[in-house]
Amino acid sequence: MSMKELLEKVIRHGLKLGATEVHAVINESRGFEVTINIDDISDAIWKSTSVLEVAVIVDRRIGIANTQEVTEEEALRTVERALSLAKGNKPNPWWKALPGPKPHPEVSGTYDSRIAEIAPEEVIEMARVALDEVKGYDPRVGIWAGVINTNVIHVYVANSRGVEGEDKATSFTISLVASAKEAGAIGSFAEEIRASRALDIEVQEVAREVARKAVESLGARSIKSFKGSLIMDYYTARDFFATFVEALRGDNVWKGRSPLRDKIGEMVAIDNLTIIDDGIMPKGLMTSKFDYEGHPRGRTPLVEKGILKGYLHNSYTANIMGVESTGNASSLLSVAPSNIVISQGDYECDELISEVKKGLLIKRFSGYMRYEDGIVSGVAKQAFLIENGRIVHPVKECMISGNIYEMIKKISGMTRSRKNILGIITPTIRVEDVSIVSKA
Amino acid sequence: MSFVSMAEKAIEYAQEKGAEYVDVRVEEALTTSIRIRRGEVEAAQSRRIRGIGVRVMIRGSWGFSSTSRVNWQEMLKAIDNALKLAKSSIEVRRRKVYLAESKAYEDKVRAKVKEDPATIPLEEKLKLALEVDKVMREYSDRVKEDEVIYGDSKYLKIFVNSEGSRINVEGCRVFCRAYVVAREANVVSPAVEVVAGSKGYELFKEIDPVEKAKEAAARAVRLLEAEVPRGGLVTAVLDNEILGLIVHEAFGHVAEADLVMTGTILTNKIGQRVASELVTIVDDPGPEGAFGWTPYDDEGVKCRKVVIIEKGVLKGYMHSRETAYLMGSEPTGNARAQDYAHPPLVRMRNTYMEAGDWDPEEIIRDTKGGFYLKGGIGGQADTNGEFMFSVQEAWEIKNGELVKPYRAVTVSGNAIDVLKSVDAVGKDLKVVSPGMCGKFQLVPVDGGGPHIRCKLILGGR
Repeated sequence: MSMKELLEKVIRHGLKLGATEVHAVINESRGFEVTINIDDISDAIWKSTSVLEVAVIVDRRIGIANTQEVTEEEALRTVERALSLAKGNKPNPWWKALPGPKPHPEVSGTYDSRIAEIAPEEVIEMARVALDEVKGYDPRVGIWAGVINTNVIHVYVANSRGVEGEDKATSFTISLVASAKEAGAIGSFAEEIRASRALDIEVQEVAREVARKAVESLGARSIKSFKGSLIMDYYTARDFFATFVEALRGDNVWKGRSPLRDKIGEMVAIDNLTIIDDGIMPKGLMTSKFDYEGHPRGRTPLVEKGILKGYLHNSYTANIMGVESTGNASSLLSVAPSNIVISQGDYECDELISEVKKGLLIKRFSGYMRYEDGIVSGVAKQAFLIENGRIVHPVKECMISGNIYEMIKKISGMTRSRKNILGIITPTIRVEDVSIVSKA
Repeated sequence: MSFVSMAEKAIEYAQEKGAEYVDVRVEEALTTSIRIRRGEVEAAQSRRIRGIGVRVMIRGSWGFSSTSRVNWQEMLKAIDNALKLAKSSIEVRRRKVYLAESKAYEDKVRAKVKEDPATIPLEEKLKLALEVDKVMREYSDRVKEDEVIYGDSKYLKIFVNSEGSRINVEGCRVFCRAYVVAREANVVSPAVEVVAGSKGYELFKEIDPVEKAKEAAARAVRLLEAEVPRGGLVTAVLDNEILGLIVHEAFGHVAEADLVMTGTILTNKIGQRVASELVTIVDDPGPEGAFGWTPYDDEGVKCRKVVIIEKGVLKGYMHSRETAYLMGSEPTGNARAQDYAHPPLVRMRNTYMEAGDWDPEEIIRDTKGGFYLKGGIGGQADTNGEFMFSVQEAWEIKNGELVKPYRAVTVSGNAIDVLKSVDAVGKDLKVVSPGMCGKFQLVPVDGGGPHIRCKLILGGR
């Protein structure tokens, strides 16, 4: 029996047993993972998982059950478990209905058969290349931790209103954390993460880059506290924008948790900032034909020239707020962004630095950034002091504090070049008037 | 084909293809989880896990595969991949893997369960979770936020290896966490209570989560009136709960052999004094009913109690077969995996300080000046022994009496310094700090101890 037929059986069974609506999705995933720990291979893993998840709605009471045993017999039992959960649950007063069928977009660049056919030896070889390249670049550097991951996924979705879909995708991720040691002192950890839908990442290049970043952190010195410019490189800028986008999730807005509720049409950022959620961009790490509900993905402008244009929705939050779903369901009741694209600036990286009287360039931030109140509080784990337009020296850990909703209005420059860090395409950004507090 | 025959066949096949050691773990579990927030059911889900994990070793190199498709064809694919991964890593690995000797066992263990959670209708579980939520929400209009997490899990784990082990463990866990935040003006006062154990639903008749939730709400509201203390080094009497948290977080992880080998505050200190001679700390596969109950670990090693510190002297670390070999020790049964789809790592089970001979109330009466610290809300610790935790409630002690409550209290210090300062250990050992421990993978753990007195740094203003 095909997965499509299995889903049809599941839906029929649910309706026969008295469900008002039924939604079902099957996720199959298969891939390799090699982990590195302290300059050695730690684990070499192959994993294959299938999960069937069934949501049954009985008069607005929702019950969800899932199973890793994706056979006809167990699938029907799973429907029954979901049904009994629904019957025992309270009715959800805001539930309207599952989405109806809409045509799915075509997407490209999300499946590379080389990843589907990759041999285990090839993945081990990549780990060897990473280890050798780092040591070859500079013997002072070691890989503290690393993961190389290849994956193939198949998704099947169907619901009782006629929604039906099938999609597949591949992914390839390399993440390395390295540090350099000199005269008994260890520099701060540097990290480099690359992810792609295709087998097109050059392991040597990632290894060289992380080694280079590790070496440039040697010789860190303490600084005095000050208020000045903060240049967030791609990784930190990614965390910054990811947090801001959390406030634009329909479920957070509706529940009153987002400070950006009721602000459509208002200026929420500097006037050259544009943020788009793009679920269909070619090769996008989060690109797919449809979301968790089987609703088509699309492109949703969130911020245009600094003005808030809209929120991200699934059918549930869209119904509550009287708008259309944007195809961002991560479950029946929750919303998640897909690919997030931040507009380009017009600076080169050096130019951004050259204009700074006194500031900090941060490459790794450890702490929290909260969308609920905008609080940014944490440690600049890998950072450099900038004085009079030049990088002076790497800096010993210092604390950064601020507020996202203020900082996003104080961006004074963004780079032309952008990097894709796990689905968020972001430039390096410079923010003014940031409080930098020395830990010394 | 039964699971065990499939596992045995898999082992034979892998050995024919060159594997020197093979183990197969089959796991089936049914879990229910419910989350309530402010009176609304945010999630009510049932989850069924089922799959097989295979580890093979060839010339000192590991390969691991797992699949949720439990049929022979899939098993072959899994083993072939594990073998290829192991073989192709041989030249790349710098450190070869060796396993310490471990006795093979044939055993079937079943946890004592009176009320199987699978037989309790969901309506009843929802009713319980909603009541827990209601009692907190309705306690006072100063209660502004609350969350209830309910979970239960029934599992079967089968372990078979190439050394002749065949082990079945059937168990069950239940968990109910009540979290509440009271607010007034600028003051935010959180509180939490957890009822959890490796038991059936009968645990909730023994310890009523609704009563516990009410205690939490009462505490959160009561402490709105309390002040934040002045910080500094103080004499502190710790209750069982916060001691359990500190023992696990600040002290337990640094005694895990894999971390010890990369360098922690306990590295190379076996035989040295690392605590006051009143202190004995163990990691225990039991007691039965504790949240981290583990009769056999995920390498088929029969779990035994590890005496980490005995009368202040560091005696041993927690091991997997791999680390035990490297350090010339016996395996201890601390190799645990989140589920069949993960290889095992060195993890704690139930980590606690053994009882002494003081009457806990006597410890307070005997204290001229200091603080009584009750319960923890979370925190963090480093491998160098530095830790920081948030305390749920603190009372100032003056001449043996509790005189004034404080809120927003944190404690910090260095684990070894704190343990060396212990000068009274109560006789009221309780293992009451259940939780999920994360170290790349989540496993259930528990912890505790008696009331003790020590010195540590109080944080406040």
